[in-house]
Amino acid sequence: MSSPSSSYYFVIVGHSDQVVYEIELGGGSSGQTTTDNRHLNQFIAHAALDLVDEAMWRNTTTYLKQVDKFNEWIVSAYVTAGGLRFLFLYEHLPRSGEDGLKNFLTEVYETYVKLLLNPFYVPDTPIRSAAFDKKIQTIARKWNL
Amino acid sequence: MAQTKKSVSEFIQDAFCPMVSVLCSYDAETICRKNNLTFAELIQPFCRLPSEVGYRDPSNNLIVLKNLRLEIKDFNSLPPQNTLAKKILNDSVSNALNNVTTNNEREIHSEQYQLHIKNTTPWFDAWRDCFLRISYGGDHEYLKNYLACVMVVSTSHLDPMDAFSKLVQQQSLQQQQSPAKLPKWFMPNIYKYFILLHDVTEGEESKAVSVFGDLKQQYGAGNCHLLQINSKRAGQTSSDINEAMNMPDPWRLYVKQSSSSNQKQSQTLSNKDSSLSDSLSNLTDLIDQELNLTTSISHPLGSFNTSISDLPATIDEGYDGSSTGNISTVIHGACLTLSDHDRIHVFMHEFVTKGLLPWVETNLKTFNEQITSRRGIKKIFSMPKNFFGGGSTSASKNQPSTTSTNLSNDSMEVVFRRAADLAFLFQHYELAYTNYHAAKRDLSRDQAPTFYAGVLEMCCITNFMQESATSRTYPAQYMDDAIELYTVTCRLPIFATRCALVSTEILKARESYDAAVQQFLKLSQEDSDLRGALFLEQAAHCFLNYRPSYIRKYAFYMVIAGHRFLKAGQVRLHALRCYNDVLEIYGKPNWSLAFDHINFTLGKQSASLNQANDAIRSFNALFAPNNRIQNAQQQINFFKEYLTVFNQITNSETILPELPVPLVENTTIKVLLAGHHKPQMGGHVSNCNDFDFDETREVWSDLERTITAHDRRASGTRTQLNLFTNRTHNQQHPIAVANETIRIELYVRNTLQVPLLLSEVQILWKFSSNGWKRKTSVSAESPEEWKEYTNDTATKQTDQPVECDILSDCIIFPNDTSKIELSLRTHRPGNLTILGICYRLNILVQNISDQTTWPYGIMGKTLFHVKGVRLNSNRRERLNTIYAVDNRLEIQVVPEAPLLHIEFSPMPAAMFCGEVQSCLVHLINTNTMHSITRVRLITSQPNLITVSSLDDTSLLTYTNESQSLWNHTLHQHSSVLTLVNHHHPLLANSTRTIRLWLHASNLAGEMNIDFLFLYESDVFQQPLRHRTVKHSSLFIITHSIGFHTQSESTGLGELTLPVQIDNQMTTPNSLTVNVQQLSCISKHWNIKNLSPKTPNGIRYGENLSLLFKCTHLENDNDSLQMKHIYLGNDETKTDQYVDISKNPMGDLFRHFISNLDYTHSAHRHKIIAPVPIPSISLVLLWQIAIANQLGQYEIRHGLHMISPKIDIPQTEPETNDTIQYELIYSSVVEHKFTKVLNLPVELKLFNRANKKFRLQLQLTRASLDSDPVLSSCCLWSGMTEQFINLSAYEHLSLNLRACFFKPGFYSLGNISLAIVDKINSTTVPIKSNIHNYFVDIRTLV
Repeated sequence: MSSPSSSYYFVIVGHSDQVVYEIELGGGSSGQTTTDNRHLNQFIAHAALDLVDEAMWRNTTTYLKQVDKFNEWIVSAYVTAGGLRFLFLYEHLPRSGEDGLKNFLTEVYETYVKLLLNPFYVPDTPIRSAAFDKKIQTIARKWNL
Repeated sequence: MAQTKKSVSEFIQDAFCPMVSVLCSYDAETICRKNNLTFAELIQPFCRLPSEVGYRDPSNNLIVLKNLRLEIKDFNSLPPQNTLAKKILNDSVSNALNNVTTNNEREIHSEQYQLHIKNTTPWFDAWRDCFLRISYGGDHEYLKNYLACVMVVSTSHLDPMDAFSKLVQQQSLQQQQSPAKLPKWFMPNIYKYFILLHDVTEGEESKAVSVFGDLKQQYGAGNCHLLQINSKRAGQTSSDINEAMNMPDPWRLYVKQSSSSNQKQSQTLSNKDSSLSDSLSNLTDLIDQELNLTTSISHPLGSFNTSISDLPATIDEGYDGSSTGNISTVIHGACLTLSDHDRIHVFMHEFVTKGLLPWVETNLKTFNEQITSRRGIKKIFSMPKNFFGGGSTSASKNQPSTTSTNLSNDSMEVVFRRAADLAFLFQHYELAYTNYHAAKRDLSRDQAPTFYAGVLEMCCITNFMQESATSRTYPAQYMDDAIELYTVTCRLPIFATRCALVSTEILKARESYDAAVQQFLKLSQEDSDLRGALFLEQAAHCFLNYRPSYIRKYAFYMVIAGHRFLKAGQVRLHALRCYNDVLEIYGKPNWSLAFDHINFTLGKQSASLNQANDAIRSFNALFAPNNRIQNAQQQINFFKEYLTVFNQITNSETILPELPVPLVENTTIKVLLAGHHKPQMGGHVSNCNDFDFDETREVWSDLERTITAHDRRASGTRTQLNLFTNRTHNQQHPIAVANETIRIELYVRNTLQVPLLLSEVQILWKFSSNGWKRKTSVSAESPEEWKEYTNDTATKQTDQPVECDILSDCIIFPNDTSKIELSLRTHRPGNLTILGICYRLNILVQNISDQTTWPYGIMGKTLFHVKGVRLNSNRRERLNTIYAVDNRLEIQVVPEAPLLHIEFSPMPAAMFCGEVQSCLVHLINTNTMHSITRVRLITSQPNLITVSSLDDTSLLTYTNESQSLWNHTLHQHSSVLTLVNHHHPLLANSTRTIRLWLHASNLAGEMNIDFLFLYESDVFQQPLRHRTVKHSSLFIITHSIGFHTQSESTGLGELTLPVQIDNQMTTPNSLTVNVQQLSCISKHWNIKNLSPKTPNGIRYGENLSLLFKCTHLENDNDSLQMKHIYLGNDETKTDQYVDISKNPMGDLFRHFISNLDYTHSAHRHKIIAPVPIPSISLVLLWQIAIANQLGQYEIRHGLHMISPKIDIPQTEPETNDTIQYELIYSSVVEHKFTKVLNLPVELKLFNRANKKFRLQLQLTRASLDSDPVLSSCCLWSGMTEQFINLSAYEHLSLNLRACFFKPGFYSLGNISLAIVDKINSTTVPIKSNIHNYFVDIRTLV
């Protein structure tokens, strides 16, 4: 925990299991080394969907905490009211801890809701917006991700 | 977990069945070998007892054994050696893939996924069975130890009894040697059974009977059996062999495995591969020991032993005498009849019921007694034992793996275990469970971990096998503990694996898939990749059994399993299967990193397995257009692998592979049936043959229809299209001509992040010679011409009917489109289909270090897929998505035909309004054989164009006569110009030049003229009636002069024509427009210049006003007269006039007048209609001297024409028009006004009609005060009203007097004339043609 290899992967999964948005956060210096394992993030996140789907009916909250773990990778999830699934993949909790993660996901959700207000954005389609990217990164920095 | 065929209890019974060893004498083996079998093999198919047998347990309950199976092995057979075992396991897995049954699909439907998943995994079953078969028993258990030994001696032996005793001796020696070696025995006092084998055909029956008698005496009747086999001789003839083939061969399954493994064993023994890391590493030591053992043990009976180990080889050589490799040809049991089979059955049954089961009964009783007797002792010693036990555990903890058990051979736990194992093997599960549980209870976990784990394992199994007989819950935790102990504490993965195999089956039966997954995953992390892969796959299948199914977990674990299969090597097909099964699940949008990973792996592995098509499909998916996530470096890596793989596997392909990139934008495909041609005459080539604009296409086809409308022959033929795009109507095939260039233009898009390099790009085509003619003539063609050609082949072919131009290089940058233009020519008529493009694909490598190792690009193709417009005409089409046919790529090629090239030289670009310029048109027939019989030209502005022959270089033709007749008729001319007619055809390879005159329009701005040349030849036939050449020219027209006139009738049959000529140039310049000549063309009027001689040059901003007077011309013969007036300054040329009637001036004038009346010019269908000639037309010739780019002055000539409207006297004039009057007086009068001024005014009257009129003249007094302009009206003196009679055509003058009293400006308008109509007694007022008569009265000072 002293020097966490802070590389995170965040993905929004749509209703028919398609990727709506994904971003790799943190770990700017070790960006090159992770390129070989980029597909692993997707694999783990995808596999966690089963558990998210199960956990979302067992919890009344939108933030589901840790839902899955594969080797050293941990997946936390957040399910929106509309049934969209936010998955957050990490090896170590961010410095801001569980609360930080929760706040991060909540704020991302707020940003997403703002995006939904855009009449040109069709829900469940991939988000390709530089402003959204930037906003997510800002939120991530805010919560020390 | 996947489903298996066996039930779980069957599986467990089969996994743990009583073991029996067979010890054979040499002669017995010899007898058996006649059947290509060893004795153990011979009886193996009969090991499962078909009937139920029973025995009594210590408490005298009858235990019924259902479906009991014995496992019979040769005394000398050993578990396979380490690497061999690994190989056997591998083979079992890879072979099982081949015999997958088809109908094992299972459908899984969830919200997001619709999957078909194979729910059986026969490879896993095969591996599991194989694993259980070749694994051996541990020191802590007795399940796999031999319970009994069967001694076999044949009657052919000289002294069978001696042989029996030797075998017994051999067995006991083996059992008693120290340290203990394999095979291991259940207990010191095993059960021995004696078989006297009798060969019916060779042996003496009497000897057999006597020896068997001895045998029974010595070993007891229940322990002996006389087995008679070989009731017939081995077939020597082929019919016998056939007969033997028809016999059931129950051995095949067993012998195949063992003999092949034996062979392999002998091969692999020498070259043991030590480098392989293996799962069965713990096995190595044991087996190595064992190998030593076989050599040492063979000492006393060496001859037997070697011969047995070499057995399969000698059998094959002995009976076949041919190749030894082909095992399937070996016939087993050739000497055995069905009654022999029955005898073996009987033997087995007797062996079990009369021998083995009583022995089991006895031993169970013994164990039970031991246990009950010891229990009392144990109670006494229990406390100190526990006390000391603590000490021993700490010692054993230090070295748990070296000694599997530190229990002495006769300790209580061992007795429990042994008793339990025996009860378990003979299906007395309750007793077994009690004993196992007792053993577990007495042991602490750390004291003997292996033993403890084994007991835990067996507790679970027996608990399960009791089924519902007991209410005890299944102790799942025991099993987890056992696996944990085996793996972690004891490091015996083999037992852990066995434990997990059984445990997961049990869990599966109990539907606790979660626990099964945990156990599979726990063991999948061990070092054996094959087992890991298999376990991961099973875990994945377990996820599917969750409620609801964990499909995505399944997918993930299948991927990991595939990865492990790959690492395991040799079973790559399984890896492919794993990846393939789940590919669909990752096919959801945008999981492309994962999807690409799978595809990449699939592609690479398919390629290495030479599954070319699969590899190509997988790699193509990598470069699918919707894949945008991968970065450039990754794509370069993918691409390199792609190229490498392709170069390996596509060498053998006959047709070109389809390549995924670049993407052809199918909507942009254009087909152009014309080649580039360079100007031969140095002019401009006709330019409009490869343009495509929606607007102009309509223009061209309109023009073409205008021409063809007159041709009866061509009626109904469609207009000639040269260019086909997605906007043209492509229902009909394009018609191309042989040996002419067809050009294809398309855009390709690079969807990758790296620049693509296409080289050797050419069109991919298919060509067939048939079909261009009508079907009736097709039958006459030779079959050779029916042949289809294509260049869709990997190999180059010569003598192709189509010749392609090759584009050597084309680079497409990332996320960019690039235009590719390709051309091809067919050499024969036929049907040409454009399939796509083929090219060599590579990427542009920027990294220099890569370039040397970079693989060569691959040849491949991309096909075109064109579709027409979406149809929307009826309901069905609106509801579905239906596209019209698009035949633009299916080109009909007609035989060679003339091709006309048109060149213009020099075509003017900028002109003044009204300017006339000429240019040359070269008509070039490029064909070497056929002549062009007719060329016609139509333009979008036919009134501005005229042609003349090449010799007419001059625009102006001069004449001396100022007045002449227009000596040819002015007919309404067709707008079509015929340039070449059939009297003078344009011969092959010849050129004709024609001068074209262009008259700039009077409107400044841009002027576009479209030229459509339509030509015909005798060789043209349907569907190509004619061909066209298109050209479009753009001219910039600038203002020159304005030419206006307004005719004024003087009222007395004369016209005044004031003409104003303005210089209308918009920008200041020094150009001077010189007017040269004005010509009047009229039937009735003659013109006279009233203006004085003035300078004729008009500079910027100036204008020139001229006045002309037209007088009525006495003209009897209705001919058209011309009158030229020279306006120039040059005195020497005053009698030189330009003859307007000569061409091209005459044509331009004709265009002018035919365009005047728009109602007539609109319909051109009447060919030669006389032009309505305007009453008067003025033609102004002017010229501008302008410096050209070289500084030379050139004279530009211009022509303006005007036809002023004039009031021509009507033949039937209205009554109020028939009388004209005029007041004549002096307009300015000076008077002293000493007295009243009397001004004499003359009234002139003129009767234009041939009729007599009575007129009323009134001179009113009323002043027009209301008129603000006038000060007053005059006063008339004299008679104020009078009546005048005016006869036909009479001129009459009346003298009137006007009185003025003071100076001023007066009107004389208060005069009114009216015609008196006697019949109606009314008056009709006459209007004056000049309304205002004014007089200015001034005071004379």
